[in-house]
Amino acid sequence: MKPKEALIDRLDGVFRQAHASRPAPPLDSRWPEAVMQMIRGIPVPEGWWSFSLLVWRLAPATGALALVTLVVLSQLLPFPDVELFRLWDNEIQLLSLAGF
Amino acid sequence: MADAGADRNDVDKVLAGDVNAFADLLRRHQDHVTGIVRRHVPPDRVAETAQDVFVRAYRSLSNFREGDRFRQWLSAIAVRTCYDFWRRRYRRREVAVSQLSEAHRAWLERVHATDADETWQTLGNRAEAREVLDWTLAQLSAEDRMVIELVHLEERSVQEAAKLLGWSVANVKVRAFRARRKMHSLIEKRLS
Repeated sequence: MKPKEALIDRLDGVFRQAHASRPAPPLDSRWPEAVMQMIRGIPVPEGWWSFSLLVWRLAPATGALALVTLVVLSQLLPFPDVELFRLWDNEIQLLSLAGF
Repeated sequence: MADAGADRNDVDKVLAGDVNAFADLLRRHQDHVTGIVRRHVPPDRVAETAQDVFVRAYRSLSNFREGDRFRQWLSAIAVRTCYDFWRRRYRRREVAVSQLSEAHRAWLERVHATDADETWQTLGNRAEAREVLDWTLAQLSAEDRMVIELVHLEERSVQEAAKLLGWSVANVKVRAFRARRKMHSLIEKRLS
């Protein structure tokens, strides 16, 4: 008798053989027609022209475009970042002075 | 390559509303699909599962991408349909774990004792081999069963199995290792 490991290795090979030799049950000759009959009862799958699909497919591009637009707009603003911060800070101070 | 072009053509026709073009896809790939399905589900469920594969493929035809090969895309659907078959069965506890008989035990002993390659081939072709294999697989989870069948029994690469199942490579690798160990410990327990 061999050690257990040898049996395990051997079983792998034998099981492979057993798995590959699983018998193929013959399909009824009317099987393809039965499948087609079932398929004819299902609505035609939506293609590329479907609106909801189009929205999903364009979503990444739309997101990227929005991001690029934001970056470009931020570059085009007439105020530098420091000025913007000062404006925002002043507004908070004014609000606190006004008692809000 | 000609088939790939014909596949694309038929997919476009179906998506344009010509349902009958799907019959050509069915005819071209029916043997390939049943070839996959028969290795993963019991013989009496092959026709029904293969039918399921084509219905699923039809329903998700709009997800078929321009650069994909239809046969590979269909193979993944076939493997996932078989996986879903076992998941449903395990969930409903319909997987019967039969006991191994004395004949099975004797078969295991013969595998253990023999040295000749030809004898292994003969032993692998015997009904007992499939019964012991099915007995072992019935005690694993649906996930482990699929990984064992794809990676160990069909000797597909981990990457290929991951692609077919739609899982990560790391998941398949870890599961394949653990499932094989589990499978062998079941056999060892029966022998000891």
